[in-house]
Amino acid sequence: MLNQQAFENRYQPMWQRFEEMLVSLEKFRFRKTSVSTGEFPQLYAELCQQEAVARQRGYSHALCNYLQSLIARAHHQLYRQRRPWLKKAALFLLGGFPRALRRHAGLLWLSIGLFVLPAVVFFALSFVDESVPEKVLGVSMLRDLDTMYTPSSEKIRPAGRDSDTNFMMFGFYVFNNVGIDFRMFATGLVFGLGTLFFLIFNGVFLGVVAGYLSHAPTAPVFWGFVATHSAPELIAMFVSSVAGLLLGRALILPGRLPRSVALIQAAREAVPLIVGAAIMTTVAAVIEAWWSSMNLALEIKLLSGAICWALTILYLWLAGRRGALIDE
Amino acid sequence: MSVSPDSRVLVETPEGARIQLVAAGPVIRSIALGIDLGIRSMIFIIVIWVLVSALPVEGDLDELEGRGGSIAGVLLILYFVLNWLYTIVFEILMAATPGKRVMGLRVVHGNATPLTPGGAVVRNLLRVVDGLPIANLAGLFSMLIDSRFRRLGDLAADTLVVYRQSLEYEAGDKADNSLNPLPPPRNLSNAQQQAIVDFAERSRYITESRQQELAAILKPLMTADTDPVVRLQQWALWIRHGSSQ
Repeated sequence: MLNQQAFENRYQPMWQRFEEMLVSLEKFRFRKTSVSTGEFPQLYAELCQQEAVARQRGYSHALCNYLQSLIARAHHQLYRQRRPWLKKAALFLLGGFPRALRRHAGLLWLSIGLFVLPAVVFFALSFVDESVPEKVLGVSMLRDLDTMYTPSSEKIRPAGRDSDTNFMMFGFYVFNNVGIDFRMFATGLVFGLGTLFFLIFNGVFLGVVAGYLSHAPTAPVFWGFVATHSAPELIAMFVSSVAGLLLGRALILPGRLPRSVALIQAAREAVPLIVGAAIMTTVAAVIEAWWSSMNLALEIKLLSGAICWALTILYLWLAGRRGALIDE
Repeated sequence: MSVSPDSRVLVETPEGARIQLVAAGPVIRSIALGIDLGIRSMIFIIVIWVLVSALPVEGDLDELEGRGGSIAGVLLILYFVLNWLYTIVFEILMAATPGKRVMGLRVVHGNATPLTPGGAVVRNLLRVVDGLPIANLAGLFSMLIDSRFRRLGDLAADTLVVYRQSLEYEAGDKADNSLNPLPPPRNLSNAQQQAIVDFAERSRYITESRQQELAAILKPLMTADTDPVVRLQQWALWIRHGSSQ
């Protein structure tokens, strides 16, 4: 049996070489070289064996810890994922995202219901009873809505806002709407309550606003404005709420798993949903800032809205049905 | 083996390797968070300063207003990026935000594999819930009751924040030639031998008086006139080299 000194003398050159390889692998690079074949895994396997021997023979802690730290660093390099991210992103958009959503169709319908129900009720109330929007939104907000959506207010909506204002609004839509998507997802962790709150709150709020603005002078401006971008924006909100409800459901109904494991699994399934929702909302922000704000005939706006809704739904419904087995 | 301090996490990989992770606690992670906050604020302030100083001093008021709109747009997007994407992007690229990197921390999954992009997304978006109700109290509470200092985002993403370890060890012969190896006076168990070698290897990190104090424990095994520290080192040499040398 080798004593510790002889053991170290024999393997030290190899450890040194291995450490040099590690140092070069640990340098920050965008494109990492592959180490999954060749000398590195070979040396790694030998190192694992040496560490086991050292531990079993009771060599000093300093030596064992050193070997363990080499193993930990090498393990980190070996198990790093090196996939072409551009291709991955394309696969995600072409099929991975809609597939991930379709796997949770039930929660999607639930989200839609939880939004649409209060939206319809409060739309009707606010449309019929003039006092409802005032109670819910407050007078000053109603004045703002009036100035924004009255056709004659040339100052607010001139024939096409200038590009600077469009860009500012784009920034605001990304900041605000994608932020809401993320919060809807995250607060699902509070047993789904946060997600429910955002859904119902938005349903009530948008229902009241839409009901109020659907009267004569403001109706065409309002509906023309929201027709197109509402498709990706609202649907992305439903998608992020599915992601949030997944977290909540894992905690309330973990099934046959421990809650901790159910939560980890649910979070993993929610990732493509929340990423996809963020992308959809950003697309909606582009449309909202540059297209929805244009002063065009109502017919054109409604037509583009119909096309946008159809395309969004078709995409989520049909994309990626073939090639479902492609590794995501 | 001796009992480990409870911040250590031992992971056994399928190939039989044992990886020891040391989970990072709330204090060092708060410092890392503070550094990141500082970096983010600096970026934001610098960008505002650059954009505003690029504005013309005089000029058409309408044009100035337009430029102001652009600046507001840039700043809103920048705020969004710094608030939500900063941590995610850095953790995807290098498994740590700059603050964590400075503090020598990194994020790994519970089975010691490197952080995946999905894991980075989950643990960072769920920061919102860790921040509830105020001042990260939920996250702190979760870290304090969890054995591995995981906040809620870590629990859902199955991640740990650990110390980035790369231990140094001078393998090979580093014996002090002035000492000659001596066998211990009786048969020692493996653990006892290990303790003696550990003492010798660590002695340069320990103060003189503490060395004396530790070595004195074994004084009953030594003859009266010997320096216990020296004797322990001789035994350690003997254990390391064996009697053959």
